[in-house]
Amino acid sequence: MGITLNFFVILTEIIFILISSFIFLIDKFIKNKNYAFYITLITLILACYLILFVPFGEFTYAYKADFYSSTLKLFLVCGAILISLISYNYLQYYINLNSGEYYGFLLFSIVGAFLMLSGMDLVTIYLAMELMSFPVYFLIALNYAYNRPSLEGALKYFIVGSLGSVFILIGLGIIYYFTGTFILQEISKVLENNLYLRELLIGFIFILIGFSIKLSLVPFHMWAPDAYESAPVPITSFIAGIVKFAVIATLIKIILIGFNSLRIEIGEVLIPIILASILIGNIMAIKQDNIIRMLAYSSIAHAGYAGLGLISADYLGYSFVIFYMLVYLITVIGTFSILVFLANFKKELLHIPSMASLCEKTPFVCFLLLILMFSLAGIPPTAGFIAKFYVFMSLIKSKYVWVALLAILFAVIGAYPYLRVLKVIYMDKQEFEFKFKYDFTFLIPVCITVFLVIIIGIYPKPWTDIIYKTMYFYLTSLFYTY
Amino acid sequence: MPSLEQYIILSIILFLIGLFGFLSRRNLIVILISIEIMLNGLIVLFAAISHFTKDISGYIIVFFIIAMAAAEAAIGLSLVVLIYKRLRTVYSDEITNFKG
Repeated sequence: MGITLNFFVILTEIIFILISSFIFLIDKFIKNKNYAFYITLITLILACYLILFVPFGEFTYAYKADFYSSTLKLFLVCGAILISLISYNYLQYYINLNSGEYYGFLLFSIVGAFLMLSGMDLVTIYLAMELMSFPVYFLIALNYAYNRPSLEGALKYFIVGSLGSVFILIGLGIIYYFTGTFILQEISKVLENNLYLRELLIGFIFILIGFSIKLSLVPFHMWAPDAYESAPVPITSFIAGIVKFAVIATLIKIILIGFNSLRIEIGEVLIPIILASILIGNIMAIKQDNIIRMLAYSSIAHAGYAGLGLISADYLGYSFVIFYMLVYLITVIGTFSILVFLANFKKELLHIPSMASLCEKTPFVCFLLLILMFSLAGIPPTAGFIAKFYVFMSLIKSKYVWVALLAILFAVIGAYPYLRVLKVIYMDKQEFEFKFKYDFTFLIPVCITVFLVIIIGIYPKPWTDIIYKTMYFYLTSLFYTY
Repeated sequence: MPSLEQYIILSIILFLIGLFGFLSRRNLIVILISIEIMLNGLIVLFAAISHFTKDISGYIIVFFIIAMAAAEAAIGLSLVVLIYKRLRTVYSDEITNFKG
């Protein structure tokens, strides 16, 4: 079997890289900076089309466009379209950030996520992860024009992230020493012969450390609140939604293809990390007054809930992890588009106690926020409940009842911060001025996300079916080819 | 001709020097240099394994790591320059704007 160089397979990535380089080149010569938004939007819509129609196949051993990666890329692109819409809305009010580079970095980061989802060897995955996270450092640091301390958040994220990449490289070194290859399927062949199980588990744990730094699981979560608070608000939703989605999907892919024989041991390793991140994320969220900081801690907890499916070491559980992250992506984009709306017209409203009696000014927005907060807390008619329910169910099915009980207990604690926001909005009283107008770029993302949250909550079967069938087809195609 | 074990010991020593500097020093530029030292230790590891197993992919990742280290240094130094301009310090314990 020779190496195939079919350039149509990587057409999406090539177009993305060309267009973002093009934005970087011409940005200096164009006065009206909104052009970059239109280019980005057209590129992303084109990417939807391309992902659906580009042929599946391999580009050398390092890259493979297949059913799994294409489905997840489609979700990512839909999320990225909504995020670019709310970015446009945000940048109209924060003019100094409105440069072409903002969207160029966004596109580069999405290319990194794409390459990561379809990388078939660990080197490609490592490089794509760096490509995904380098632009985010700049995007956080960009906010220093309005908020000088935001440089500190960017620096923290940068230092912790580069330490994470060092840890991934240690893992790669250990795996390379024992197997002599970086290709996931070759590693899986070594593992199937029961060779070097313990050593490769240690190597995988080092890779897991690097990934959990990106996912902000607990021993490595200290950067998250600072980086989230200092980033521009749409970029926060990008870090919390898209980056985490791509990282956890790639982690599942590595486990499925490369380390399939070790998945039960990996689940056992993950138990304390996941439980601690749910507990600490939820408890620390209680005392935060800044709503973005609160959502940062809650995103630590939500990465923990998604990781519960990884503990279950079951293919159904893995598909529910993807489903959980999809629901979280939708919910977090909706929440942050409302926060963008608040930050545009009155920056102080991001402070929770000063949100009091907001419902008298904008009852519509407050109702949408109510639904999204219910979804984050996991209250029945919304998607958040269904996602949590499936994850816990998969955990109970694989006999980890005590883990599920503890996680449900921590989830009860985790309902408090969201309900507090609603209590302040609906029950507290104060006098204040609030002038606003509804933009289309605000209404479209928030209405779509709230609609999806309710639809998934009421009738989740088609959505879980899509993801489960994807996983099923992927596994069958994986294990019957060789 | 040193053996593979000696190379691995060298790379572990380099890595530990880098990790110690990363954890103990407070100057941001020294922290960046420590990250580079850690990456260099890993480069020695990959090149040595690749040399002794006669496999090419270790050498390839060495080049990728060098490029990645350069990109990381560029980002880190530009952030440090910006921090020095705006916040007037390069010591990590003096930058305390966020709490809790």
